[in-house]
Amino acid sequence: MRITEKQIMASLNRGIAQGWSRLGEIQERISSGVRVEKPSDDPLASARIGSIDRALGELERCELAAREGRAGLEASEGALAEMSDLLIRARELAVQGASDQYSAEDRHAMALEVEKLREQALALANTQVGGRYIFSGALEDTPAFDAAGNYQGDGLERELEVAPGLKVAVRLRGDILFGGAGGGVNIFTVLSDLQAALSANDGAAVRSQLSLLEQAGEQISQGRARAGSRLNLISGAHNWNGQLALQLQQDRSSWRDTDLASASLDLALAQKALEASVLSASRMLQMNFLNRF
Amino acid sequence: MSFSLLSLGWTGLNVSRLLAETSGHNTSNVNTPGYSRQRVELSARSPLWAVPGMLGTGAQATSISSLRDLFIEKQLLGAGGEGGFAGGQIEALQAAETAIGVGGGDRLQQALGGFFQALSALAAQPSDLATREQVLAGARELAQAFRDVRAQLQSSRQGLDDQIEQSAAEVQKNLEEIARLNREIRAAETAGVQANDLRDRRGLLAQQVAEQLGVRVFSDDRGNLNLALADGAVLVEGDQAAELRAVKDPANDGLMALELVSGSGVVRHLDAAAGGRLGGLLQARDVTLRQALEKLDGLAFDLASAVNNLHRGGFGLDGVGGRDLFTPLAGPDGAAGQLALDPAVDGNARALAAASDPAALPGDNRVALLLAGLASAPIASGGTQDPISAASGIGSFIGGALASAERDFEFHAGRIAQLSAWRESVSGVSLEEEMIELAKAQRAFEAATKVIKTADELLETVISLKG
Repeated sequence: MRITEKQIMASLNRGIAQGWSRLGEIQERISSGVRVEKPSDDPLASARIGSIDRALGELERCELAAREGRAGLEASEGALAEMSDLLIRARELAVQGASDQYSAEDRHAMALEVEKLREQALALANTQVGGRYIFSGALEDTPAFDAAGNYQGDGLERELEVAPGLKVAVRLRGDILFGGAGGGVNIFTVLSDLQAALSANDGAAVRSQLSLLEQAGEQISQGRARAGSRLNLISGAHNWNGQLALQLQQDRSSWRDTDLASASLDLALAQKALEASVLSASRMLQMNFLNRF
Repeated sequence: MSFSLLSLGWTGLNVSRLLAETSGHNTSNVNTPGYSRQRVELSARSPLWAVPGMLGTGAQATSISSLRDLFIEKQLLGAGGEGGFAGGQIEALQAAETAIGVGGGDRLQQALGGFFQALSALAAQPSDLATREQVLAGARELAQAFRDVRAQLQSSRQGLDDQIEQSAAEVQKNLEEIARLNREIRAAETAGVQANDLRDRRGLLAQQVAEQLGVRVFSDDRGNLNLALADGAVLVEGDQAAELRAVKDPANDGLMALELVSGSGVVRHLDAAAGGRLGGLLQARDVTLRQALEKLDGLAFDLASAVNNLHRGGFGLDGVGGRDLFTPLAGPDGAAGQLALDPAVDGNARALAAASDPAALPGDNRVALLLAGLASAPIASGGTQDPISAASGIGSFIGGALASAERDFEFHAGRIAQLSAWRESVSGVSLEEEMIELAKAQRAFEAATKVIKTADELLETVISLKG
């Protein structure tokens, strides 16, 4: 093939220009730490990164819901634990009051304590989180029970999505727990009846409340079990979300980030190639046959 | 006899001078684009019939030809057009890709993420006013992002108008000059002279046109170079050039369209199939970016409809239902540019519908939960994709087209470099060669002078005899 100076110059030019652009590209990759900066850098990787980002966003939303749900359930659980203690105390009083050893004054003192317990029970049933009554269902700006022990909420157990596709009810129904709905007993009625029986110094009536108190205790422990199992679900979901997010982040980084080891190797190679181009250019430019003619 | 020796020497001088002049011409044009080196074709002059045999009468130049390989030049035209097509797309799409978002900062995707995040928070705390304000802010930002991205895509389409107009004018000028050169070359060559330099100039112009439009060339036996588009539309025929003009096209958002008016006045509308850089610009603007716009509009419409459908079925804190979250859109056409918060909800956080039952206020979150669930529901792209994937799909769509144009461009640039090297190998001027040619001519010139001097001395000898 016949070669002219112009061809040589063009190829030197091309070699050096390509060398610089390759070097610049690798340098940019290393200094930004990112391999895929715009979709055209690698359309496949960029589509994968997009779907990973989407999944990460979904996990973030679920985590938010899980945090919120856990706060509500833990508050419910705490209220139920106290309610349970309170019922145990009420039962102790009822057992004592049922015994005929005690005088009318004694029973009167017990009645006063039961009245206090009932007030406490009402306060627990009207527990608020962030200014909202957690046992009122959807009517969360209304206290769950009025002073007479009537339920004022509705039966909605709010659900949240705590992991992709997993919805958990994060509220317990106050009417079932405390109000006697669904075949249970109304705790406030039981306590008022107990108080009345004690005040009336009626041992038999006090005795008749014992089984009802037992039933109320049962009702509360069922509620605690339900809250506990939901909390378990949520903490399982939380762990799962965390693991999935970690995996997704690793995946994302492997698609998006520069592999420094291989990039430095590429940089060294590109540098060598450019040096070689420049060297060969300077050698070629030194050649001058024209002064020989 | 001595007289013929004189004239022999004279033909040698003549031919050597011509050789030196041609070398000088080649040397001067060593860097002229499109120039093909020229060579003097030499032959011996017709001999004389003399007594012992034919007697030579010296040398003559029969023609000055230029060395070119028409096959390679045709290939170069084709490669130039294909490289230009890819290059035009790159020019147009780079700006659009930047408009959508660079560095993982996809504007739409982020806005969608924020919107659904706020809806999830609303599901967790349906009665919290601060959370409701966040949802409104997220929805407002989402509508703004759709409008901004659409405006930017549209403006990166409009930004091509200047380039299209300018290139069309340039191509038009070149076409006219090719037609003029066709006329001059025909006139010169009917007189039997090869118009090498004019042909070189014409070839260069054709190459420049080929980079802007994908052309085919046809040479005819009268020395014309005729240019046509791939579909046969004539650009130059003999000394007639068609007219290429850029006009605003009201059917295409008032963007510049290319029209080709033939000699007989037939108007043709050019599209991406015209090829070359102009075809590439049109391909990017009217195919790729237009599809991206349609995807964007479709997504905006699908999302607004799905959100509104759920929202209308829900109730605000005030117990009122049937309200839209986004202003209802008539259809997907231009939807992304019109997306906005509905005035019934804008600025009124209590109107946000989180509840599905007006009796279960304010803690009912069932509609909010459904709205948040839209993030992963297949509501976009004809019910096949969730909205966030669809949004990131728009960036990938443009990026994919750009990446494939870049690959094409690299391939064709390599081909052009190879073909140019071949062309240079045949037609390029080599300074060393020309120096050798010059030295050869100089020697021959000196020798011819010597012949004349000898003839002169011979004549002098004969003349001095008489004295």
